[in-house]
Amino acid sequence: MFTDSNSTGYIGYAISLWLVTAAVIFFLDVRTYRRTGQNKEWKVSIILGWINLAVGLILLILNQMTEWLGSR
Amino acid sequence: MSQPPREITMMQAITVIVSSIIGVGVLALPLFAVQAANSGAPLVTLLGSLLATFGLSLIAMLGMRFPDQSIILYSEVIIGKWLALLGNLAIFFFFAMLTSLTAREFGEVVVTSVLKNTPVEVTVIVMLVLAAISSRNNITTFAYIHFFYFPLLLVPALIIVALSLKTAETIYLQPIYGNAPTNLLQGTLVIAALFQPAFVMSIIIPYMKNPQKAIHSSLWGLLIAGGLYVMIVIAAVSRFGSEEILKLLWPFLELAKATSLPANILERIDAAFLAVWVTAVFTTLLTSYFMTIYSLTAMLKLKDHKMFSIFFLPVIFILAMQPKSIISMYSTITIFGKIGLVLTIGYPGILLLIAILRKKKGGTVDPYH
Repeated sequence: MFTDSNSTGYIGYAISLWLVTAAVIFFLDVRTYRRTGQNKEWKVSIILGWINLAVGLILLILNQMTEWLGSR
Repeated sequence: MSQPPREITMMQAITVIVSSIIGVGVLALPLFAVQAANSGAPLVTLLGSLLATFGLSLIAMLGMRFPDQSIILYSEVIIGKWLALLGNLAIFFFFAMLTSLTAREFGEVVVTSVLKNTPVEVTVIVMLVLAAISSRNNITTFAYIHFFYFPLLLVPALIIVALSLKTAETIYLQPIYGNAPTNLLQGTLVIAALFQPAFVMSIIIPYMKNPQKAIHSSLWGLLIAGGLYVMIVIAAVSRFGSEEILKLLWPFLELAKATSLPANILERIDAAFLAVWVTAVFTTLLTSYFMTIYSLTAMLKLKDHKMFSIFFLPVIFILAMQPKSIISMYSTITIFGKIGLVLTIGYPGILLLIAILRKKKGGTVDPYH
């Protein structure tokens, strides 16, 4: 019981997290910083949002390709 | 977001320290102590607490010397911008790892003891999301959260310890130095590593109403947390004996299972205890998550940390899922714990020494700059 963790493979969860967090950053933090006039924080949050979105999409594509290649 | 005013009282600082320390490690604490010194487990726990107290005192003294700055900023004043950057990055990475390992340990306990069919990923994500959302608040609210949950953590632990002593065998605690213990120093370091979340004092002090009370807060906080830890180890060892504890992964959880309220009002209190323990894990995780994002915010000279609370969630999750099993997880925790002592005790010690030698002191500087 203690040698195998109760894990189902975490990559799907990770991809979802990256995409969801990107959305939250864009729709919450970016808008809030623009409204409050915090320019430096606004710029940084845009960069962070794009990083998360890019990582999420790249991993999603790679994961789908891996599954497709594995099923052939 | 403007800089929050100084609103944290000495009492709140104490509760931040205690609720940050009491967390996921409390379940395995007696095992670590017994592995080091068998029946001398209470002694090694005491020694670990004293070492942690020394470390936190260094942080408090530094904070009192630089009352308007966190460690991220006054380290730049003391050792220069580029050397301080190395130290600050080390703080950031260490607390990111600590957050991930804490979340993973929580997840493993939950899927082993309570939700046996739930993937560990789900339990880890739930707790991390909770910490991420809560860490979006400012530092004053952060302290209020700890202050609010403090009695909820302390009282049940004391109740379990007190009730378990009615079936205690004091012979199990002898000899108090342990049977020819060979790992006393290792054990002391492992126990001291459990107190590392108290490092949060280094960012709390600039927001205290009276920063000169930081040393009082630190000593009281470690007295309460350390005292509780020693009592937990005494209760576990006197109930089970050191040999039996070596066969238990989470002895304090087993102690809660073996304890019941008088007249069997509640035959097993481990269910209620686990609910309280979840709160304890949350406060510890909140502290380490807050330290992670706050340190980066301060390094980048930003005025707000909210964006990082969401940004790092997937990264922390990935780190949390790296250990392949509970065994490798605890191995990683032990290694990182010992490395962390260099950072949480050694680094503040060096900073304090250099600050004294170079006659560096703080002034009335905005903590965010």
